[in-house]
Amino acid sequence: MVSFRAHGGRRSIGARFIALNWGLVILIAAMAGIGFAALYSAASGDWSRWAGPQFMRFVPGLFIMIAIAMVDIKFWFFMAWPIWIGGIVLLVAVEVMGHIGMGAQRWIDLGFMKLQPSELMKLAVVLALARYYHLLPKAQLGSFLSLGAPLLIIGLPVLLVMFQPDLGTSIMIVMAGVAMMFLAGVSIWFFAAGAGLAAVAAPLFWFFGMHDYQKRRVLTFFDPESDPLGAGYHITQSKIAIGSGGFGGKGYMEGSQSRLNFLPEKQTDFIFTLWAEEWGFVGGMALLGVIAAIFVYGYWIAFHCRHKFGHLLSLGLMINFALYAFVNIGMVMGLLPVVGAPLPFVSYGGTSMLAVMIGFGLMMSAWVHRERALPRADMD
Amino acid sequence: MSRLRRISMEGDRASVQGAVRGRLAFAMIVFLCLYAGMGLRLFALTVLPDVSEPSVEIGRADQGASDALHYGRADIVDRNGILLATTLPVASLYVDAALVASPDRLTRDLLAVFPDLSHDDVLAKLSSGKRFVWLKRGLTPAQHQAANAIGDPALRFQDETRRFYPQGDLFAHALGYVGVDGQGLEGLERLENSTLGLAGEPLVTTLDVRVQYAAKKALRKAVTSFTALGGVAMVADVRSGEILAAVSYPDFDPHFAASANRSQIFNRFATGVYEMGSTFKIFSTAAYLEKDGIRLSDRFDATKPIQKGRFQIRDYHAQKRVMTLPEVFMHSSNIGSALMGEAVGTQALREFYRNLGFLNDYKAAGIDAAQGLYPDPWRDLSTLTVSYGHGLAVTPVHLMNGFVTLVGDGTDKHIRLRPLEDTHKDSIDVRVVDEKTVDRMRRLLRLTVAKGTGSKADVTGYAVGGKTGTAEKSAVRGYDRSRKLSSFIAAFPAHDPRYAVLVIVDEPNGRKDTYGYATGGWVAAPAVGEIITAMTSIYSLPPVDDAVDAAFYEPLLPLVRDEKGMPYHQTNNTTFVEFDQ
Repeated sequence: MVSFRAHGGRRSIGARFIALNWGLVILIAAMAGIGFAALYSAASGDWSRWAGPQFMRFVPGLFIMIAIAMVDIKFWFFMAWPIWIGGIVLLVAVEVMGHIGMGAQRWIDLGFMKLQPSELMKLAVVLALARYYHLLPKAQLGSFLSLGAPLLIIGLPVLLVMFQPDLGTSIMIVMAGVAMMFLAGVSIWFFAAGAGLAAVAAPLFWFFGMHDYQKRRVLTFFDPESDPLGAGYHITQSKIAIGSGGFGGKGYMEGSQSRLNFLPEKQTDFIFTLWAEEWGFVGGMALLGVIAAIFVYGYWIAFHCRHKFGHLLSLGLMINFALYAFVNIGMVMGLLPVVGAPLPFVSYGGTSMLAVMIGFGLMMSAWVHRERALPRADMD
Repeated sequence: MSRLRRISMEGDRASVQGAVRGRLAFAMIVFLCLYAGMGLRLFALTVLPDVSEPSVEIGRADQGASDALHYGRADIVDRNGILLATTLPVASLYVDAALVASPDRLTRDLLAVFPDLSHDDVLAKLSSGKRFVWLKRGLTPAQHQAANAIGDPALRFQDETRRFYPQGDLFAHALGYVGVDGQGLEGLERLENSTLGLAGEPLVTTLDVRVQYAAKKALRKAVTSFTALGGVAMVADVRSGEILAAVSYPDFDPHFAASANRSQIFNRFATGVYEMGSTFKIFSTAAYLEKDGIRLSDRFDATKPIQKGRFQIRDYHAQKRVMTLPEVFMHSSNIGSALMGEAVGTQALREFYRNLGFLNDYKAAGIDAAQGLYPDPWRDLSTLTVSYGHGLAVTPVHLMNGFVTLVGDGTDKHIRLRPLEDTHKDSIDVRVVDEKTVDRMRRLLRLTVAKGTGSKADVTGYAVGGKTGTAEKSAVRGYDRSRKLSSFIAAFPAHDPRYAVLVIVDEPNGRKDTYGYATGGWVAAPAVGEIITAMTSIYSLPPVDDAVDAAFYEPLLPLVRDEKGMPYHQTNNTTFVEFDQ
């Protein structure tokens, strides 16, 4: 049966290059292009400040992405656990020798760049979960014991990230992981039980697990106008800036609200605000459209994977991407709490961009090797 | 093995395309809904208007509405645009006593800047530990700078606005004043509080700062020289009912209204209710003239006082003779007026007074005068007394409005402090007296000033017509002869009045040069004359031809004789018969 499959075996490098998902590459380049334009504007027309460095990271990132895509999916299948363990080691290391910055200990300074292990950990969790559910016999999806490994795969990194402390990222890992378990076919009753448990745990977490600034962010989210000069200031200013853009925007490089430093970190977390102010509803919808197209593309890839590993890997990475974009844009529009999530490809930042591009590389590898036969637990 | 593997591979595909497919679709729908939600949110933020925010257009409209800077409450100006009240930004000083390091030292520093503050008071405030204590409100710029220069972080400034009255105490009662928190508490400030609070265009009044000053100057002179309690001076435009001046004296500094005493704060023209005395003979005479079949040559027996039970009606300057109607008026005979009232009848006289507004409170633009007192029940004896101004009390505003009605064109003009165009015109043309009565009243008033008790109000060339009033003030029991309300009300020029002037002096005391007299003719008439003299130059009024003036009142002379019963000398040979139809 296996030999029937046209691309079940290894193919030449050239064939794999041609088989790359170029439509997705174009969409990614389009989104990154929006990022360069927005960053150029954020620096008031200074290419060297943010847009240039971002571009200089995007180009090698593109090569890394394609390189990863050309690597046999079987390699990533076998590397899932080593990568996960490596991620855990880095997270522990950041606790020990981490670089203190922005009030949270999140980086490892590698000299040429600051590595943020939690970004890589998101990929590692997806890889490990995809491998685990690929190997798990279908009959055990309803088994209670089969939950042990996924909870470890998700739980350990979440705990470590939470200790950094980075509540936003840890929540995102949980959400992406749970979504993957859901899509892998885990019995619906476990989710019901988990939801019940969360309802009980949430108040305990609120009182014992959260820092004051995190509590404040959540409270401010529910009523940003209650503290317009304090914690709610950023959300309010962001909404004012987006609203001032109107239907067609104020024009490129004309965004007064974003430019006059009403917004903090306009080049990172609030880059969408600047974009929407200058390009208005039309520009904002265009960016949302690109994101939605990428999302649909990811689904398309997942659907065409013949192996469950690639299927779940694509879905997990796509959910990660879509969650980040959603949380970031929802945050700057006042729909979600301020959790400090970057907008993939658009926000300024090296690790984030690199991690997202590695993720898309893995997704494309799943596409290129979608017919590849992967081992099963009940085999061998 | 091979079969197992095949089965598992088949199962694999089935799992992707089968049972889990529902979950995939679910996840897809959830995400697409989230993105659709974000699209809607983006639409709401960018395209839909935010009703909670003022739009740029409204802001621009507000800005363009006025050229001048407006700080809060609107200005008040006089009829020529002279500023009477304005609002300016000021700084006020408070202390956060929790931050005071050394109360003693800071108290010393503060007293150097504000010597008028009490040492103990300031020290107590600084030591109170309270987070907010006012120290001094409405600082001058120099005080602001000096207090800031103390450099103590506990001292804080609050930007406020403050009401200023550039004319000082001149308009204290007409304008009123505002409280510390900007609410109008008296006068126009209270009556127009909502309009002024809109901070729009200046509120235009009918007042004229020049006439107001002339009125106050003449009144103050009369009040002080006759050592009176106080007084009222009012000037109104007879044709429009616009009040040019309204003075109550003593007055107060509206910037420090809280420290004014009761006499100062008492608005005599709007809230002072007085028995007006003889000036009311104007109205009883007019009521008589309104009757059918009367003549100016009608005679009234003033040979002896009228006795009604234990009550007696006497004349001050009793001439003990039968008097014609003009004689009753010009010599101010109580007996004659009482007889006129009796002839009018209780019902008709009460109705006449009601039409003149004397029985109700008085409300017009910018004026809110108190309800007077009238006899209730209204007996026939009351009809006799109210005919000469006793037993019925009104405010000076009532008196002025009734007078303007009678000497104007016989319709109620509703004297007011806001210009005519700002108020309803519908309510104006209410006819109260016949035009023929108006003409006769003007002649009687002119005769009184030219030959009778009001001669001290006359201004050569301006044909003043008026009536004196000297009321005894009511005491606990009956009336007190030594406490008088002396008044004079006049209109000029008499044959076609343009302005009406009223002066009332409360409890004047006779002087040596007035032979001990403190009557209206001696006290108030000269003050009215002074105001009219000032007005002739303020408005550059042309004098009236003597011949026109003489032709107006001299026809009455054959009907009258002086206090000693002697006939008056006539300058020409006009006869009375011509108009006594």
